[in-house]
Amino acid sequence: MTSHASVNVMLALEDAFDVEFPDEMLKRSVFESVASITEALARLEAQAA
Amino acid sequence: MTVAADRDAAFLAGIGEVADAIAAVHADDVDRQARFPVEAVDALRERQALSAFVPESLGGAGVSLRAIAEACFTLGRRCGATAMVFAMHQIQVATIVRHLGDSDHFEDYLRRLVSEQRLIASATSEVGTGGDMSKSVAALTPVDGAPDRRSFEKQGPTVSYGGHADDLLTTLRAHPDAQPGEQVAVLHAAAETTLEPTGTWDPLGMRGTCSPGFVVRAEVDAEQALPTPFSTIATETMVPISHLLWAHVWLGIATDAFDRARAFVRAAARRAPGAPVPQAVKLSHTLTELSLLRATVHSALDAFLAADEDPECLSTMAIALQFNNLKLAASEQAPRVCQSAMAVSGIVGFKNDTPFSVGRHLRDSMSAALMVANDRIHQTNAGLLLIAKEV
Repeated sequence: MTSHASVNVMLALEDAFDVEFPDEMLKRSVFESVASITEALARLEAQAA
Repeated sequence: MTVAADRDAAFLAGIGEVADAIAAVHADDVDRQARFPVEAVDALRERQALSAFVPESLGGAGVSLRAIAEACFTLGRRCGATAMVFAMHQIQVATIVRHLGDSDHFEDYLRRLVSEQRLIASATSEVGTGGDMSKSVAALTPVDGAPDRRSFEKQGPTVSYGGHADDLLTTLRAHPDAQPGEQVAVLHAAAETTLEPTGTWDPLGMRGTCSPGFVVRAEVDAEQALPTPFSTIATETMVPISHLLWAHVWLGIATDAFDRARAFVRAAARRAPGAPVPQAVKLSHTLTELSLLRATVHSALDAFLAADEDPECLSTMAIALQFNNLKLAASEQAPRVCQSAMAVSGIVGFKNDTPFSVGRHLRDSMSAALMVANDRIHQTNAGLLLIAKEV
């Protein structure tokens, strides 16, 4: 969670999907699995649509 | 007043007595001899203060975290080492209270903590991790022929009051194949532990915390590991509450340094009524530095209590940044206040045996920057800042 690796994953996702994770999404439970990341991205895209 | 407020007030009245009548009396000797503040800790035991944060349902006083923080401040004004021992103990208590899950073992333990007023130390740092508490080398290892038993050996570079505690809370890898970050916190009695000293203890400040290195060896039951993963414990409790309680200790130390400088200026003013006291202006500068520290510490406590309603919120990066920053800001500001106080009273502040001495305060406050090295915390924050939005 606080490691450089997870920060890099978040940065890469923001770049690839052209989204910004709000602070309330920047927590362990959101980044603990591919499924939870997918769900978070889907939520952000739904909000943007 | 509400019942909760009465409870907090009664607790804090007892802490005030211990601070003024006992901790203050022995503070210089504790510092000079680098010895454990045994009188003050015994007095805290007598007042059941070691179990103050244990909920009433388990026999404790159930005082609020705000009152515990205030107690750290109050003790810090009289003896930094006593206050730091008290703060660190309360951090372990809070860790158990908040993360025991449905463990009968830990419920029983908390009841014993109340009846026996046991003092808990911690062995969270480790040789070979570069000061990163979110990683362990030593592992909780199955014991051949005893399915419920585990053993471990950990190299602790600093175990504060390790030689004076009744129990230790030790972080370890959960099992021999676990990654460095897959940790558990294990609570074990000193009586079932071998502590082999690996160094001496003659530091610049916080001398009464008696924090030399130890090799910690124990064999325990599997149920002595807290059921919550340490990564969660660290994020939701240990890191923010450590930074909060330590900062209250430092604020207490800095406040007493200011009070001593103010007493010096008042004495000078009384000696020559009507004449200008040049040091009064310096004292005003000291107050400005103290006010910054006080505002930082108090606002962080309010923010934590607000966030604490929602554990999810506590696990966000924005909160991690906030409480890391509290530690950095407070640990840099406290010595600044003490140094400014010393500049007010000059040689009588510099000497160790006057009512205005602030040497101990300055030295104690300088430990703040290295209780978890500030550079390491800056490094963590640097990573978080790349991604956090509202800071």
